[in-house]
Amino acid sequence: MAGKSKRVATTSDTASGPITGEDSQRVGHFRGLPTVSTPGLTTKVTDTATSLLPSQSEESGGRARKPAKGGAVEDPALYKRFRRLCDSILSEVRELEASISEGRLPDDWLGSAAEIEALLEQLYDVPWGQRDALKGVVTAILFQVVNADWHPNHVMFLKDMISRLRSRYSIDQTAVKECAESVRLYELDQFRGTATKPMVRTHYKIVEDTGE
Amino acid sequence: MNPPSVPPTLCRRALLETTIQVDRKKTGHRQAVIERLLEGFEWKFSTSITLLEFKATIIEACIFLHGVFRRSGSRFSDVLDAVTESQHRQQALRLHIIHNMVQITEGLFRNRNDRQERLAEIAYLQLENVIPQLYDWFSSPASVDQVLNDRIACTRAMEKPVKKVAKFETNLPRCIRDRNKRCQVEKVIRQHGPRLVKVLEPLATPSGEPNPNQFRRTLDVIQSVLANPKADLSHEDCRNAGDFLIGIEAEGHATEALSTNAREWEVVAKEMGMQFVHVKYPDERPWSR
Repeated sequence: MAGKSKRVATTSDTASGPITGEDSQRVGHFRGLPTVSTPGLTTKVTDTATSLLPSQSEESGGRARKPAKGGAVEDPALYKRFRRLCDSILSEVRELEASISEGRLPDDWLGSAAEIEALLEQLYDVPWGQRDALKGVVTAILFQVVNADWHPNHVMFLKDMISRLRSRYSIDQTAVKECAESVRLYELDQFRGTATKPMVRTHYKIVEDTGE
Repeated sequence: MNPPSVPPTLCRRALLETTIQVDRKKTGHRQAVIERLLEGFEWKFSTSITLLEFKATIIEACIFLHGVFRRSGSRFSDVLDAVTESQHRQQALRLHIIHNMVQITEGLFRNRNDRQERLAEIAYLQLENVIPQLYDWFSSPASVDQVLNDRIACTRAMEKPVKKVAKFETNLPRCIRDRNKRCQVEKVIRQHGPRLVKVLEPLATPSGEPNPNQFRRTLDVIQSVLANPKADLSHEDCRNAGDFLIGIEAEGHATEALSTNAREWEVVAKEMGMQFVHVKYPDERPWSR
């Protein structure tokens, strides 16, 4: 597993181009310093460990929030893409699982975690399943793993959830409920990052943007 | 649920009022303090009015944020800014939730031009997942052994948050008897009101004062019901008299009342025949370390 933190996702996807993309390059970016400043009003998010970064450009897409009409998307190419991403995540998760020793993750687990998170972001973008159901499941998974100090239960949760997801053809709200059950089963915090203050690897705080 | 193995009078039975139930979900640190305290109790109770207050605070804040994140073209940072600037009385709770979200969202979609819109989308999707779970948690065995509901039986408390096509239904619609309200609150107040008036009158601020204390607000609600046989309270009124209504629901069931709020709860607990347990947390503010 040595040197894994430098790796980027390399899984390819025949349906709509290679999965490796700019997003995959974010491996190792998770300790970077983000900004959420907006013109007019003035907040930044900073990593307490470092100083402020310059503002990030924010081009507004202004997308509508209305769910797609017609419910499920039936494009087989999208299904292939969905399956391939699930396979890639499962492969990473199984590799990590195999390296668990004496109930502990290996020292270099962060590399695998970053890669899994990048793949989950790509899975989020696949317009497969009913309305926003897949996005809802992936969001629920991301809220458990992003910026978390992983332990074996995170790995088992991912394995369980992605396996269940992969075996489905239809992704609907029952998949979201399954995710909630899985969170409880592996004793993770179902309210992490919403009602409950999360335990994190990197703590971010909001500070005033003075415009300097 | 198995019956207790010792006679009920010997069991320690905790009443968890709203501040405790909210704090159990807010930070792991506070949760740990409370869970350690609860290890000494055989039974844990909450009540329907506590659930009403839980809905009116943390669930209401989540539903509000869901609504604003879900608006077309919504951007995460814009919502954060707007909530930071607002003067709403739930601002602190809303910011607490957004700050928690920032810990997660800051690691996501770093290289996307539409990042702020995507983060808003992620935020509302997760709130959509969590809101019904928060409601379910309150009554679950992980939270309490029983939500005491046989005296007041608050109708609003029993309604689970339901998402329609896009938004959640109104969390707490105004209560109107025979239309959307079947509770017993006026009956209970008429039954217990006279003795509570005696307790509250010496503690309440003078009537008509611009900043009435909690005892005055409670007293006003009770007197309005005692004076008017057709009184039809809504959930805002019940929340004004919340501490005493929670106490009435738990009277005779709980032996000890746990709260972070000593000013009101010492009085409520004494009146309802419970021992008061003041829950305190070590100071979490960084400047006091």
